[in-house]
Amino acid sequence: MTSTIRSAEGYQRPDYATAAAGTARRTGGAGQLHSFLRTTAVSAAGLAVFFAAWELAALQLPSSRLVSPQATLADLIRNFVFAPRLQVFGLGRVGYGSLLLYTVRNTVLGLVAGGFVGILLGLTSARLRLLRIFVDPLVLVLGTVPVLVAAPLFLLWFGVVPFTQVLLVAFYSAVMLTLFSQRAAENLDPLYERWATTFGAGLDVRIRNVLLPGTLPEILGGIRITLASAWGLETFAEILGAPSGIGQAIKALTNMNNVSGLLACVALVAISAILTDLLLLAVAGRIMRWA
Amino acid sequence: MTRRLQGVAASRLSGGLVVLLAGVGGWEILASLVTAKGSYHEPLVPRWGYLMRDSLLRMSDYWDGSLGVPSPSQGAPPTYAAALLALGQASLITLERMVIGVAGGVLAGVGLGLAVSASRLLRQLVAPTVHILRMTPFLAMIPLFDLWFGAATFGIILFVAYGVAVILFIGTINAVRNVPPVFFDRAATLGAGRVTVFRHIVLPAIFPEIRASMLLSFGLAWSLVVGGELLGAQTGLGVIVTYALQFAYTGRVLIVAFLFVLYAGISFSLFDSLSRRAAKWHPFAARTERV
Amino acid sequence: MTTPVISVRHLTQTFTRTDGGRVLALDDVSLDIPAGEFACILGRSGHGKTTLLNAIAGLLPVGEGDIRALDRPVTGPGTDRGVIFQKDAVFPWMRVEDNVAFGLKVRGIDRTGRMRIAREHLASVGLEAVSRAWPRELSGGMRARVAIAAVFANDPPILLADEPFGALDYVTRRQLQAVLRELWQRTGKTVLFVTHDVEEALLLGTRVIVVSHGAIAEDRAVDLPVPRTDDDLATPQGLALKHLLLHHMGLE
Repeated sequence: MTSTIRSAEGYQRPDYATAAAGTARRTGGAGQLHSFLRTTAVSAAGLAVFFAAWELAALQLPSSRLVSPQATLADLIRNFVFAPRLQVFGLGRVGYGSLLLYTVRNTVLGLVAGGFVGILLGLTSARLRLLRIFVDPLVLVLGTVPVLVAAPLFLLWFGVVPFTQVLLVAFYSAVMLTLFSQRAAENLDPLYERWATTFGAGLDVRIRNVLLPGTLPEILGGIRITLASAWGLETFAEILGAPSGIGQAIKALTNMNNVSGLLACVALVAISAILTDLLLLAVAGRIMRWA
Repeated sequence: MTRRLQGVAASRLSGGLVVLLAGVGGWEILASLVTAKGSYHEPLVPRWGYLMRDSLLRMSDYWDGSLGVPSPSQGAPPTYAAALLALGQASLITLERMVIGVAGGVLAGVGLGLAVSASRLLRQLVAPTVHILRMTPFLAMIPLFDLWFGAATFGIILFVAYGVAVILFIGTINAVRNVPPVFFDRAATLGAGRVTVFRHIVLPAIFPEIRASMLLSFGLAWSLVVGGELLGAQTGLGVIVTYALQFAYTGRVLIVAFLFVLYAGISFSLFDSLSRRAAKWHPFAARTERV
Repeated sequence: MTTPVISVRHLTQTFTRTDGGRVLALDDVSLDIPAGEFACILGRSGHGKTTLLNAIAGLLPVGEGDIRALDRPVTGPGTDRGVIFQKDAVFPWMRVEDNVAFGLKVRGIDRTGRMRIAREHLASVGLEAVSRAWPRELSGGMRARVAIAAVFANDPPILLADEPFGALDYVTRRQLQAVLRELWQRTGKTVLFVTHDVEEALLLGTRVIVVSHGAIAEDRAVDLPVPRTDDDLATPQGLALKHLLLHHMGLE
C-alpha cells in the first residue's frame, strides 16, 4: 500500500518533489531538457494569456478606446519607417523608428552619465564618513521626491532641446544609483576588505579587486530598476516638450485621438524597456558567474 | 539613545543643516548671477525675496474668490490669504488623489497577489503579463489613461492605483515566495489548516516586505500624481505648474515643486514611523528604512 | 509482541532536482521503532537520514513503500508526530510564549489553558523569564529551547528531531542534550533523533541506526546506562560501539 500525501494546506507550500538533494551527482541531460521545456511552455502559455486578454478586451470595447494586438502591430509596422500622420506636427519626415532612436539614445546617455556619478558618489560616501554626512541628507530629500517636478523646471531653463531630457534622466539615475551603491557597499561585509589589507593590498587594489566586484551584483540590480523607470521619465519629458522622441509621437497621436498609433508607440517603448532589461540581465549573468 | 547613536544623529543633523544652508545660499548666489528672464519677464532663477514676494503672492491668481476672500480673477489685488487658499485647495485635491490612489492600489495589489500566490500554476501563467505591465513605463501610459478614464480626479486616481497595484502585486508574490518553507512545515505538523496558516503564518511573515514595497510605491505614486496632473488635468497642484509653464513663471513652478518635496517627505516619514511599530519583531527592524 | 510505534516497510524515495536530474535518496529501507525508544539516526550529509525523518514526519510526497505511525498510515504531517526542525522554525512575529502555545491554539484550547501549559513548558526548559520576549532577542540556544518547549507542550507521542543542535556551540549543545534527555525520560515519548555527531548519538540514544548511501548500514542497541556520562562512553563496550560508528562514518 503506497502512502499518498494529502494536498498541502499551506499557502505556497514548496514543491517537495523538486527539492534539491545535497551531494547527489547530476544524472544527465534528459531531465534538464524536460524541465527547460516545461518552463518555456508555461511562459509561452502566460504570454498567450496576455494577448488573449488583450484581444478579448479589444473585441468588447469600441475601437475608439482599444484596438486588437494585430491592429497595433500593423500600425507599428506601417509607421515604423515613415509615419505620414506625424508630419503635420513639425517633426519632419520621421517614422516611429527614428523617434524611438532619439528616445533610446537619450535614455541610455542619461543613465550612463548619471549612473557613473551616482555609483562614484555612492561607493565613496559609503566608505568616507565625512562625505557621507553631506550626501545622506541630499539624497534623502532628492530620493523621496518625484524627480518629475524638475521636468518643467528644466524645460523652462534649457528649452526644447535634447539636453533637457538627458539631464532629467541623468539627475534621476545619479540619485537612484547613489542610493543603490551606498546600500551595496554597506551590505558588503567589511571582512573582505580587511582580509585584503592583511595581504598588503593598497586602497586602489582593494577598490578594484574587492569593493567593485563585491558591490557589482547589487549595483547591477539597481541599474536594472533605474533603467526601467528611466524610460518612463524620458518619454514623459518628451511629451512635455522635445525636438523629437517617441513621447512627441505619443503627444501628437493623443491629440489626434489615434488609438492604434498610441498603443503602437507605447508598445515600442515597452519592447525597448523589456529588451534592454533582458540584455542587462544577460550581461549581468555573464559578468557575475561567481555570484 | 546611546552616546554613539546620539553622535550619529548629531552629525546627520549638522550635515543636513550644512546642505540646507549651502543649498539656500548657493541658490541665492546663482540667482543674482543668472539674470536671464523668460518670455514674460520673470527671472529664470528667481531670488528668495522674489519667490516670497512675487511668486507666492501671485498664487492668488488661482483662487476662485470664495470663502469671502476676493481673488484677482475678480479684479481684487493679490493677497497672501488668497494665495495660501489657492495652494491649500490645490494641495487637498492632489492629496486626495494620492491617498485614494495608493489605498486602492495597495488593496488591489496585495489582494490579487495573495490570491495568485495560492496556486503555483496560476502564478506562472500570470507572470509574463505582470512582467509586461511592470516594464511598460507608467509615465508613458498617461495619455492612454487620459483617453480611457479622462484627466480628472477619477482618471488620476485610477492611474495611481494601477501603478501602485503593479508594484505591490509583484512585491506580495515575492514576499510569499520568500517565506521560509520551514514555517509551513512546522504549522503542518501542528495540525494547522489553510485559514490558520494564512492568518498566522503568511500574513505576519510577509508584512515587513509588504511594508518595504509600500514605501517604495510612495515615491512612484507621487510621480504618477504629478505626471498625471502635468498632462491634462484641470485642477490640483500640477495644473498650477502647467499654467506657469506657459508664461515661464519659474518662481511658481519652484513653489509647487517645493510643496511636492514637502508633502512627499512628510507622507513617507509618517508612514514609516507609524508602521515601524507593527514590524518591530522583525530580526532586522533595527536598520533604518531607506527608499 | 506489541505493534511498533513507527513502522517503515520498503521505503524508496527518489527526488527530481531543479535541473531535472533524479536522485535516489532512500533505497528499500525498512525499520521498526518500539514505544519509548530514543533512536538516533546517524549518517553523513546527503546520505538520506533527513529524508528518512521527513518521510516519517509526512513532509514528503512518498515514493514507494509503506510508513505507519501508531498503527495508522502516514499520509501527511500530523499532531501525533511532533517535529523539531534543523532550521530555526520559531515564528519571529510571535512572542516566545505565543510560539509555545501556538499548537494548543490550533487545537482549540482556550487562552488561559494554553498560556498555563506554555509557561509550564517554558519553565521545564528554563525560559520562564523570557516568556514575553521576541525570538529575535534570544540567542540561538534559547530559541532551540523554545522549539523544544513548543513541541513538548503539544504532547505528541512521537518526537522527530532533525539535527536540532547542529548550529550551536559545544557547551550549549551539551546543555540542550541534557534538557531533551530529561524531558524524554519524564514523558516516555518515542524519539527519532537525526544527527551526524557520533558522540551525540551515543550520549542520547537507546539505539543507533546508521544510514549510508540511502540504506541502513547498521542498527544497534546501545546498552549503556540512562542517563549516561562521558565515563559510561569510555567503557570497553562504549568504545567498541564508538569505533564501529566512526568506521561507518568513514573516519576509521
